[in-house]
Amino acid sequence: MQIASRRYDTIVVATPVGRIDQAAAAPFERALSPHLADDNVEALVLDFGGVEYISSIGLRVLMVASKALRKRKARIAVAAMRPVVAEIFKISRFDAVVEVFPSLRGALGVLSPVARDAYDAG
Amino acid sequence: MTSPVAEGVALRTVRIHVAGAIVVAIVAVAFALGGASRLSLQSAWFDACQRIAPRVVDSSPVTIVEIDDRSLATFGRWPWPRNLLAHLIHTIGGAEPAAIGVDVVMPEPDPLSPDNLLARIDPDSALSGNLADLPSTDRELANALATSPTVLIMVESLAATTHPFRVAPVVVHDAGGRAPSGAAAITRLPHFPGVIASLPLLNAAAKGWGFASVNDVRGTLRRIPLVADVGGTLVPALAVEMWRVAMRASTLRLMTGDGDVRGVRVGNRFFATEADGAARIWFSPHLPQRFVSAKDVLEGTVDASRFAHRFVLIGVTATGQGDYLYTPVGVPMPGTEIHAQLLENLYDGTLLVRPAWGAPIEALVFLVFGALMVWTTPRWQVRSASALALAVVVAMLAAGFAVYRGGHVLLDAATPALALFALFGTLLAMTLAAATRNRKALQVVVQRQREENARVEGELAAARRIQTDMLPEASTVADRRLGLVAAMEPAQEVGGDLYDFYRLDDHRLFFMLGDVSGKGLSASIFMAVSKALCKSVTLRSQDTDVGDLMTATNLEIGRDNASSLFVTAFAGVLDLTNGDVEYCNAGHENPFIVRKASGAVERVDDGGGPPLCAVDGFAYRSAQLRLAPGDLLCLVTDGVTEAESAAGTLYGVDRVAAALSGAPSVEDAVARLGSDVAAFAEGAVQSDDITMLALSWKGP
Repeated sequence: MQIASRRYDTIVVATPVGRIDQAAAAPFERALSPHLADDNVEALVLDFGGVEYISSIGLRVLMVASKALRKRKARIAVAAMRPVVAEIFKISRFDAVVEVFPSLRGALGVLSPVARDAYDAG
Repeated sequence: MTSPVAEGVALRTVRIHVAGAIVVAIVAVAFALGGASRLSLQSAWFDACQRIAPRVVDSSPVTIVEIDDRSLATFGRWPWPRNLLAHLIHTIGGAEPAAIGVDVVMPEPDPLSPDNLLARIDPDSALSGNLADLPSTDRELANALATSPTVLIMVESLAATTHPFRVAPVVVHDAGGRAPSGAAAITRLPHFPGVIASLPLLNAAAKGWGFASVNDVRGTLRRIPLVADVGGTLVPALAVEMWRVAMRASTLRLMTGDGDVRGVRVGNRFFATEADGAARIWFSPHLPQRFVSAKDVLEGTVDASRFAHRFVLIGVTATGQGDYLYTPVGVPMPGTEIHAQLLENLYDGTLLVRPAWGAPIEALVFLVFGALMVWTTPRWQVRSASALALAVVVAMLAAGFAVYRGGHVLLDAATPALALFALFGTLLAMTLAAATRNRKALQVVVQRQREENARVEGELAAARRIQTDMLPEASTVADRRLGLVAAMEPAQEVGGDLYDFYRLDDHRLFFMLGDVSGKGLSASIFMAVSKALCKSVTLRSQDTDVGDLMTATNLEIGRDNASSLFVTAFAGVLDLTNGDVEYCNAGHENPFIVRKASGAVERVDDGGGPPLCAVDGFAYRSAQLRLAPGDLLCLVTDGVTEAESAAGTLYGVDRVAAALSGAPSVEDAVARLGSDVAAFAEGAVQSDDITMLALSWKGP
């Protein structure tokens, strides 16, 4: 799977697309790992607008990321989930593992207004 | 094939190559040095060629006058009085032959000569006077010899010559070369200490003197020396001497060069020989047309044209008198006919040639094809390698025979062919032996692999047994107020699902169902640990809230979670006195409630938190629900909701609800759901553990 990532101020926005299942979990984990130990990254926002499905293996990657970021007081959020994915988050209560926002812009606004302004500036 | 076995195979192939190459090189050198000529197979091959395709006689320069049984029947037993021989020679000589070879040795005076008879009878008898008037028969023969171009035979002898013999001068012409010495070449000629020659009287009368050698290595006459060294004197063979006499030449020339004999020159004719001065006769079979009977000659019934300008040989073939020799073409042949065949060969230039380059070329052919076999035999299929070996041998024999037919050149195809066959047989045996060893080595590897697999399978089976043994039986919590059925079908040998239930006291039942994120051995170990920790936490703190139990369990499990797995779990406590359920859901699929009253299916979607291990130190909270008598509470893992059909569709919670709807008992609920999922997933690979737990409160 292709995972684009952009940086707005101290926030990294990663955009996975498609199904995050057994096959995609490893590339997904590799795409996130550089940001987990980067002290300049204060928050990691996952734009899930293009994610069709996430399996428990995919959730595990989020859990690992969450633990790593929390350890250094950074934050992790998922934004713009589709209903199917939102249902999975609801069932597994992963909204307690990562912060959940309806939109990417909203997430950036809560996490860092500076980053939101950068996002608005394009 | 594992690497060590492949290396073993390669090593064994290389060993065969090296051994084969060494053998081929040694044998090729032996061939090049003429080793094959010492083996009878080479002679047998040359003989076979002549037997299959003997020389075809198309000119008849020789007539043999045979003193046969008919002659003896008419003119009396052998030896004849020499005046009869004289008469025979006179008759032949009258027809003007090119030369007459007399293949009869007469070293003693004729015992039937009148002067010799006279010595034996009473000198005073009447017969004595008559005998004395008769001429000596030896002298009569000498007269006959003197008037015709006659050549007398002499025979090799192991003893020194007793009386002097006459011989035409043989002049050595040395062409120089590597060993410029005619003397060196002469040492290669056959040496005899002496010869048995005819009486000096007869010898002096004849025009020529040639020797006959019946000396051949293995009893079969193939080669005849054209010149021999008799006690230091060079003596020509009978046939060569007849050529000299026919050509009126006074001398013969022995041509030498490079220390070898090259041939014999008579007048303007040159007869090439092998290095030892011998020629190889190309034999035709015995030919009766060559012969005329001495009887017929003496009686004057043979046409003069049989003798005119031809070589004539006089020889004895009568039973018990003539010498017969084995030749390559089979049946014994009169010695005289062999002289005739040599004369024909010299006349037609059809002597067989065994060239000096024969042995090296045979060695080269063996080297090339031997190397080919050494390379191919260990690498090719047996069938292909055998076909190649057979083709090579057949081609060599065919080529050898073709060279014989086309140019009467003798090349030994048989010995190299046999050597190649032996080489091929050896290589094949080595290859097959190596293949057997390779197969054994491979079997050992396969066996080890099997044992290893069995060991792993055994461990997995043991792990599954441990896992299954850890799951409680419903009978351990049997109660009239309670219905409970649990079932698990792991996707792999061991799964990551878990369930547990036990009584906390007489009225309270603890139950839980969980799913580790993952499958296989690591998930199952994590599951076992989780289950044990959960139980120990629960039993240690009996009266606490289920949410607090989850919080404590989360702390315990998360304390040492190196593999970053997490567990979704639903846990609850059923109060058997009133049907109240206090529960907590840690990220697990919401359970289903089948209401007895309506048959409707509800979801339990309250009370919970993230999966265990997902968030360190999370404070779980519990929730409550109440079961009416006969209501069912059904817990499933995502192996049920995410079961895939062959078409790739997910089973989904709606199908779970539909399958459970109206189920009258826990047994019925689990059976319906299990068979419905199985039917849905028919033909697809089960990708996740399928676990179900159903319980009902039957009333107080």
